[in-house]
This record gives sequence, C-alpha cells and structure tokens, in this order.
Amino acid sequence: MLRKYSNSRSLNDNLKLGSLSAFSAGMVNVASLIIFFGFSSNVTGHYAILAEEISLGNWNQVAVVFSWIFLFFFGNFVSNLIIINFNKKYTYVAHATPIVLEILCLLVVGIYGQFYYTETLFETEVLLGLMLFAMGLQNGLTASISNFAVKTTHLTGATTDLGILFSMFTKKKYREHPELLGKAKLIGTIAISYLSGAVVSGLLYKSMQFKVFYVVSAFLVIIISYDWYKISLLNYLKTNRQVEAKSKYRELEIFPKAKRENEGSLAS
Amino acid sequence: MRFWTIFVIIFSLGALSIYGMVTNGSNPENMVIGQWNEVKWEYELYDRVESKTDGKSKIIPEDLKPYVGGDLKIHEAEMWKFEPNGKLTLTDRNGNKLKQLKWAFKGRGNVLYLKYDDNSIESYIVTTINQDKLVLNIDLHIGAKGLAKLTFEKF
Repeated sequence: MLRKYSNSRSLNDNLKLGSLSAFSAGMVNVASLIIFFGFSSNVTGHYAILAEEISLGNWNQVAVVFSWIFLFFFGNFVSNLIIINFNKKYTYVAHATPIVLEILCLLVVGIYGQFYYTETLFETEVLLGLMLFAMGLQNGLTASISNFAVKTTHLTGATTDLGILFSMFTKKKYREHPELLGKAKLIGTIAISYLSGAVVSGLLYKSMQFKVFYVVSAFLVIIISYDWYKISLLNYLKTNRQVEAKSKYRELEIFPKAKRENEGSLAS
Repeated sequence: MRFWTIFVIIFSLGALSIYGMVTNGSNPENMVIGQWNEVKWEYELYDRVESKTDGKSKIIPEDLKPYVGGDLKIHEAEMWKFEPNGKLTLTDRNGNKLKQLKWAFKGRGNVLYLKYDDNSIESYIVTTINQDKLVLNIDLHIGAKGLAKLTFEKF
C-alpha cells in the first residue's frame, strides 16, 4: 500500500490504500460534524462560507475559516514535502510519516475531547483545525504516492470522474478498456468506503463519543502495519534466501575441501 | 523571486489567520452573555405559504412538524439568561425560573448548541448576533436555515 510510488503502483495497491484511508476519512468527517458542527475532510464548503463571511464583513469568522482552509493546505504541503525529500532513500518511512502525524493529531483530538473538552468555541475551532490538518496530511499522502489517482477525503472530484466514466461506458469500446474500468472500480470503492466509514462513525459516536477517534487511529495503524509486515516478510525471505545461498556455496566450496582432507588423512 | 513572494504571502496570511483565530476579539461567547428578551417567533416557510401566524405564536403548526422533527422542544420562556459558566436559565416574564440547560457555540461560532439534563440536544443557527440583537434559526442539519426563527433583544 505505502511502499510503492507513482507509476509502479498497481490497481490493487491503490484499491487497498483508497478503501482504508477513505473509510477513516469518512469516520473523521462525520465525527467532526456531530461533535463540532463543522466539516473536517473537505474544504469546498469552507471556501463558500469564507466568501459569505467576507461579503458580510465578519472578519473574526473570516480568520477562523481561512485558518481551517490554510491548515488543510498546510497538511498537504507537509505531507508532500516529507515524501519528495525522503522518498528515494527511505520510501516506506517517507510514506508512513504523514500517517503517523495524522494518527498523533487524531489521538490529540480524542484524548483532549475525552478528558479536557469544556465545549468552548476556542477549543472547538482549534480541534476542528487540527482535524483539517490531519485530513490534509492524509489526502496529500494518498494523492502524492498514487500519482493523483487516489484522493480520499472528499468526493466532489471522484463523483465528477465517476459520472464521466459512466457516460463513457455507454460506448462498448470504453466498456472494454481495462484502465477505465480499473479507474471506475477504484473511485467506486473509495466512495463506498467513505460512506461506510461515515455511517459507522455516526453509529459508534452514540456509544463512544470522542473514543471514536481511537478507532480511526486503529484503522490508520492497519495501513502502516500492513506494509511494515510486508517489508519485514520480504526482508526475512530475502535474508533467508541469502543464508540458503551462502550455505549452498559453502557446501560447494568448503565441504569438498574438507572431504578431500578427510580422504587424505585416511589414506595416510 | 515572484514565486517566493507568492509563497510568503500565502504563509503569512495563514499565520495571520491562525493568530486571529487564537486571539479572537469579538467572540460570540462574550457577546451572548446576559439576559435576552424573546420578541418574535416566525415560521418562515409557513408564513410564506399560508401567512397564518402572527409572529408571536409558539405552537408549531401540525403540517410543519414533519419538517421540524419530533425532538424539538418549544420554549415557553420569554427570557433567556446566558451565564459565562455555560448555563442557560429560561425564565418567564415575571422572572420565574422555568428550566436550566447548558449552552455552547459550535462550528465557527455559527451554531448555538443547547443540552438538556436528559442529554437531549437542540441546535440553532446563529443568524445575527451583536450587542443588541440575537436571531436564531432552528438547525435542521441539512445545511439550510430552519423553518422557525427566534428573535431576541438584549434586556
């Protein structure tokens, strides 16, 4: 999911990454909507609100909404900055770091909400900002490593693409195009995962409240662990193969020599 | 050079906005503190369709109930007293205490959230808030302003 970059990624890699991260984004967005009455994974609505507040001259609210949009932007910025600087040397670490930061942000929201939240407006605005930053980190990561194929925190572009693809599928030549079919499958999976995450979050919130952010964090840990496990497995297999090859080499090199020595001592 | 100028402008605006958010001056939480006198109830859609209400009636017409939802509690109070500790006391015009609930602002300060002792929740979109006037719309969670509008004046 996270090890491969850009064009070396398969549809299957993108499907796994897209479904899991869209599920967690859906969970975060609905949780923030229920708790804070604000969206945290999409900024289109915030742009509209920003315009409205500017036209009304509510400068305090302009500052708040612009901060949220900026934090989402900054999350994307940080995520891609990490990737482009560390991708070549430490691919997995570069791709996992934005998710680790996202988990930290969501844990802060969860822990603060569970133990310290007194429902002041300041707390609401800051926690919502932190969630927008976390969603920016996630979106920046998935978009960057998948060559802009996977965007999981909002569905405007995905729904547009899906509408276009479905209209293309009215013609047979496009219906049989594997790349277009793969794209439709990916976008459809992302949309369904996002919606499922949102519904699950809405249901879980009733009994878990702020603890729902721990569940989201657990999902993100799965994304990281999956590749870590694969890397460990690959390293293990690689090391095993090297050991086997070395022992075979030794058998060929050393054992015949020892055998000859043994035969020599017997003869004498 | 031009690139870095744009870069600096965007990041400065972001930093300034965050500073503005943190040091928010005319916070609605400060503005709402005090006693508010309920002066008008309006049912926007109903008024538009049938013009049956006089702007004072607090009874939700039967045909509007499906839109408003079953959970909404219509306040019989005339005075709303917001206290800094998050308590809201509803009293009648003679000062008799009717109910006490918890209040908080949500979103960017555009949603007034009321919580009852039985944990039921009610939310209003804050349409106007200033030193003299408070206008609330019932929040139907559908991104639209509610059907009922409450207007208050500072007491």
